[in-house]
Amino acid sequence: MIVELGHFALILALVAALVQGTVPLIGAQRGYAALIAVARPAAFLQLALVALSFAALTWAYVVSDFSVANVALNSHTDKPMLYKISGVWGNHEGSILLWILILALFGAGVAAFGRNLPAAFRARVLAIQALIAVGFLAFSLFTSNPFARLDPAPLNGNGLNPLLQDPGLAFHPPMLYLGYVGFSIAFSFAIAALIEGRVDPAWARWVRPWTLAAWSFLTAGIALGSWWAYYELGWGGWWFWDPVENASFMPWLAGTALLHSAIVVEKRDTLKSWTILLAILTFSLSLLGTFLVRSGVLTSVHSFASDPARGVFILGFLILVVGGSLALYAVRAPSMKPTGMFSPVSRETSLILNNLVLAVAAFVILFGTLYPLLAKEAGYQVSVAAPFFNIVFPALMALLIPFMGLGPLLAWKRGNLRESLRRLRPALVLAVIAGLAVAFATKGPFWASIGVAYGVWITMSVLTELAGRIGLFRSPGQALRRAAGLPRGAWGMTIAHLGIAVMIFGIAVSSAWQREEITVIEPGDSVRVGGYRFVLDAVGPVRGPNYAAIRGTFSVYKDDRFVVRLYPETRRFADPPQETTEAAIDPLFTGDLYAVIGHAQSDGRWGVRLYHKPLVSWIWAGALIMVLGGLVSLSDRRLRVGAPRAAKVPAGVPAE
Amino acid sequence: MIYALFALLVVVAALILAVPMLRRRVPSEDRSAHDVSIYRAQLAELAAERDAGAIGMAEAEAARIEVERRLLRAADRAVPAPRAQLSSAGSMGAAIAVAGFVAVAAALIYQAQGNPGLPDRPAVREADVPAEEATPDELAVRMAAAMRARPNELRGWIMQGQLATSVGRYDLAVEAYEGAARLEPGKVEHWLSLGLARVARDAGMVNPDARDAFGKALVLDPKNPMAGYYLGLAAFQDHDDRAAFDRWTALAAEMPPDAEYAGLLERGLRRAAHRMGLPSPEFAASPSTPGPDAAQVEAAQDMSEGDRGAMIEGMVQRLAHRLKQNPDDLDGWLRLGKAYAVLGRKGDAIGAYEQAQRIDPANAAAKEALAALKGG
Repeated sequence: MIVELGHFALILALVAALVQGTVPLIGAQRGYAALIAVARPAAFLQLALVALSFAALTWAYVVSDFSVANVALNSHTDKPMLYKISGVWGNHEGSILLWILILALFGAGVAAFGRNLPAAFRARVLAIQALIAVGFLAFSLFTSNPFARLDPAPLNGNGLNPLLQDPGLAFHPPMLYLGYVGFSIAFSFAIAALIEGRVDPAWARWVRPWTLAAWSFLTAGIALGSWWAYYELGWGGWWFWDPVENASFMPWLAGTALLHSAIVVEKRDTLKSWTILLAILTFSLSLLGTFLVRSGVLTSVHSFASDPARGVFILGFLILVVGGSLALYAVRAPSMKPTGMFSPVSRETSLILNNLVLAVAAFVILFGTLYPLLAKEAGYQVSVAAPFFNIVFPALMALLIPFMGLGPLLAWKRGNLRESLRRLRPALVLAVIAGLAVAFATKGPFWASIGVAYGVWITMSVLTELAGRIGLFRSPGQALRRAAGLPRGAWGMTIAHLGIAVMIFGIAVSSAWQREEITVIEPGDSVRVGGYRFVLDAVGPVRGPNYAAIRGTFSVYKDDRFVVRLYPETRRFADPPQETTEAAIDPLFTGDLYAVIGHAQSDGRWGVRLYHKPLVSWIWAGALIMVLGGLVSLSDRRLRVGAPRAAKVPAGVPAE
Repeated sequence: MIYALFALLVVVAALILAVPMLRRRVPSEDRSAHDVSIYRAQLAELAAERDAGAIGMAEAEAARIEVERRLLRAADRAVPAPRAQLSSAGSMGAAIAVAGFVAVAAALIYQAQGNPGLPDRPAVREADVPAEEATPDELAVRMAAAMRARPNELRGWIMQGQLATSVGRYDLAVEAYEGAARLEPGKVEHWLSLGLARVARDAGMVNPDARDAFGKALVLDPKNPMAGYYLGLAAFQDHDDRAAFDRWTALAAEMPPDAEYAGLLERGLRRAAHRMGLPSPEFAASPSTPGPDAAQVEAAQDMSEGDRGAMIEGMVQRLAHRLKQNPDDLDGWLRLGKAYAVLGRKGDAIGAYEQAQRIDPANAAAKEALAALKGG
């Protein structure tokens, strides 16, 4: 009964979304306040219904109700509880339901926290949000119903891919989806603005917190995914440029560009048409990413014969959303006239450069991801692999990074290039010295020196900008007070840019000076890897809740001083039969020690892979710092300005 | 019950959607007030930026003029636009339309998709399902019926085989593994499962159809120990002791030292040797693993022998029980008779064969067996 109740709630959610997607829109168009008023309660209703439905499916997983086909296919009574629950979204049907839940969550968020938005505008936003939900609910119910039943129910389920039985992956998709789906709000804001025919600084300010939230979640989601690949796949890599990763990275690049271009709209009431386009493109890339990751636009294209409904629906939905919004854009964009001016040397210009490079980067990745897939459809084999991205992407970033340091020091409207460069001279000198020192002292590859120089450049220029803002050298006594008085948005930028610097250090140093040994040893042997000595103490079997494993015990020494003991495992799952490697990692501030135990050789020795990866954890630390920057910026009180009441107390607006 | 809950959900949803339309006094709201507050905030920020030097003096002045121009435009629009109000009949109509749409559309879609009569089946609670609701036996019968309707689902047959075996319905298990072996004849496991199910159905006797299944398994995997063991057992039950002994000896020679079936094989060999009047064969424990001492071996053997006896006893009892309910099963009585004969329960065996004769007085097998039992 609970299962059927969940099914019914999902159907009711579809019907309610149809109402929410039409009635407020008509109301806003005709000016009927009574119809506009439907939007907010409808958004809450939507969340309640979808949450009920999601809870019912989760319940079916928790109690292993194999009369639900989805549970029977993807769960098993022997599975640990955590993975029974994560199994809810570890499959196509459930992940679409999670998508819908998060969509409803954001809709309800706008209804709850969007009090500063004009009612008609908010009604339009919520209606667009509901129309997206209609598409996904229909997709779920009519092609991928998570509540399809089996009668009689099988006695046990088909288990779950043991690769997916991992805490990192249990939380990775929800985080990623929070980012993907979060950009639906930016999209709804853009479409609502196009329908209204008004894009102005107020709009840019309203859309900012939602874009920031989505961007922060997406950053965290991508970092989690990369971290998961790093320690679960057992090859020590953390980014593979595979289509699934690219699918999450494209909306991130577009979203980052959107975040920056919206600032220009807010400050100068210009770049409006481009910003709207970015909002549309970001969400379109998110949609593409969703379907690539979970359903696979391409696998569904491949499986047209077996399940044509799904593939046709996805393609149709993508065409409708992307094509429809771009058509609306084409009609409305010419009416968006810029009203502000700025000179070619200004912070605005540097933000436009940022947008240009990020957009090109997103396009390059889109091309590199889709081209081989489309070529394969057309019948010939093209491989656009990591080497392509590893050359093109850093080259693009190499263009971007100098402006990342310079931009924040340029004044709005008209900057003084000479003055800004003079202030940046110490940063520049330090960066060059650091780069040269690395090049001569370590004989690393040239790009490692450039990477280190860029990291120093960003760090120093961000600190220079911060020091200037708080007047560290002008009036040191006041600096602390000024620092506390800085708007949170400014702090957010500083923190996020520092996060990039930390990440660049991690990428450059770990890629250039990683040491690896792939060898065959027996217990008692030791292997030297990058200044560390790994001793294989023992290898033995261990039992897990639903797997059997071979566990190796390594002691690691540096200069005969004991550092850590590592326990890598190779796990063998029974149902379905599959093997996973569990790398043992000791994340040190200066670098990770990484050990993988492989297969037994016929002579009783063991294949092992051992790595020393200097500064590699800085990559994820950098991402976390960026997320922190996003959250700090999100807490800026100015983002909540706009409600008419606030206008009466301008004193409540913090001075910058 | 479930429809009451559905109705409740529909009513709540319809009310939430329709009631806002019926509210008479909706506060009219002025869009430009929002804009004005944003631009005022921007002016304050601009002043702060100018003081901090983040924008030049002249530019700040120009920006201030830009923002103020926007502020004025927003204020100009501030004349509240006359809000259209729906007439009371109109809003009532809209509310009813929305509520009706919600109820009808949800009902139609659910009717097409839902299974209102299908209860939840949480696996963790299966153990305490009351017996009258669905005994495991009934479950197996129901699933068998379902599987016959879609005989090409390999996984279904395998699950049914496991289910039927676990509840002791070996006849259904045989049917299930026959299905699996038909769909995937190249897989050794199906033939082994089928052979085992046939042996279990026949209360431990390796009859020709079981022999056939193990033979097929052996064709696919000539070294398969389980198939080899049961073919040996078949020979043993046919009193072809030499064939059984040879087969088992060959198997024992290739047996890994820690094989699970070692005990079974050892016992078989002892019995075959005993019947042939040979000395009991020696089983040297492999030198690498120190074997248990003699007393332990003896104890373990006794225990597993007892277990095995109990198991066969149980199978025979189930067969006898089923025949009591279904006394016209000729094959069943013959099988039971044979099983009793093997167990040495002569009187019971005669009784079973007599039952078989009652059903088919001309049955040659029953006649022959009775003659042998009474004569011997």
